[in-house]
Amino acid sequence: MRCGEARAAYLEGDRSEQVTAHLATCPACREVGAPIESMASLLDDVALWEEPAPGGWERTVRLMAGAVPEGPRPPALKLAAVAIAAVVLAIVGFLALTTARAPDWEFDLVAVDSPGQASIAGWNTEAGSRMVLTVEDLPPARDGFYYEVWLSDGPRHISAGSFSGPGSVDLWVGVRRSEFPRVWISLEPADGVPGIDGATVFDTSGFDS
Amino acid sequence: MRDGALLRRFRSGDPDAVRVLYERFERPVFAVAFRALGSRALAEEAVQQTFLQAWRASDRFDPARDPAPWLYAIARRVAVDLYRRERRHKASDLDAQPEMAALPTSFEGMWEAWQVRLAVEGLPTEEFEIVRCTHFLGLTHAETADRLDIPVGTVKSRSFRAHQRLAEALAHVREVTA
Repeated sequence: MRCGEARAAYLEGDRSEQVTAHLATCPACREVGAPIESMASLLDDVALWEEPAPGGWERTVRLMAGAVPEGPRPPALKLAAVAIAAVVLAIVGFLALTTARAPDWEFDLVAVDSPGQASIAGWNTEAGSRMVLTVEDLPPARDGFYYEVWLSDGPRHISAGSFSGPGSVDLWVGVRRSEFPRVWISLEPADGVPGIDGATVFDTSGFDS
Repeated sequence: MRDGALLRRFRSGDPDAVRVLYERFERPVFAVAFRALGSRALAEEAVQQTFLQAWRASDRFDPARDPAPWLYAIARRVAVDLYRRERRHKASDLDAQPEMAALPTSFEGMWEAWQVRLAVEGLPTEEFEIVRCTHFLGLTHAETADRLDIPVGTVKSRSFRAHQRLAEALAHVREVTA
């Protein structure tokens, strides 16, 4: 038996007399075989080969997010806290700015076979539009239904969000009203089917007939 | 692993550095915890707790030192705590002080297991796969060749090289366990 064959057979778990005799008598194999033999038994511990499920890091991060570091807070975390605070301030500042700024457009919606009044104001943003819809005297959507706000350019309809009753709601959409001039509201069944199934309750003047 | 810049960032609590250490040591921590606790769920909890505690104590870590023994010490302590917590939950009224009970034999040899898993992690991927097929899946070289779609001669030569490499890396462990 050749050295390579004997070593390979041994590493496969072959403990036949032919293999063990070769490893015991061949000087070259004895030199390299003994350390490998003792180490191979360590590798046979199957627990060593078990693999953790994916997503462990994400779970650890969630734990870290809820934990307080021991001792003085590491500087990098201080920086992270400052960065988070800066982002929050930027968002608050942006909202304050867009709210304080006069809307780029606003108008009253026309009720279509529905009680109540609705008005909408919009601000053009870099990514689309922010809108504030104010609805009064509209009955709350009945169980299993919700009101949905749409922007349309004719054949294309973009959902801008939903609401369940009178009040004021902030809406963000990724298009400009200059491209999607019609703003309207429908009463949609909460059936999990996207798209327009329900009756129109408010519409932009000129599109309501 | 002694990456000075990385370890200094870890000491300062840099979450990216924690992530790098997590990626390098997740499997060894999981393996020894699984071996000791005998439960995947507890072993995964042990991994998360180990890195949480390492992060919380990172300002006390010496970046001039190898993080492996430090992480191992944390992992072992976490595994012991989890074992005692589980024992407390299962303890009957007759077990007055379950936390005083001796650890089971599965906790013996944790350090050796840690060393072996670290050494295995250090193998090139193609050698790691072959060693795993042999020792975990119990495949012959021919079956390994089929599974990995490579010639059986390649399996044999890689297997020998991998075992030689591991024998060198684990010489100190073999001396202790011999």
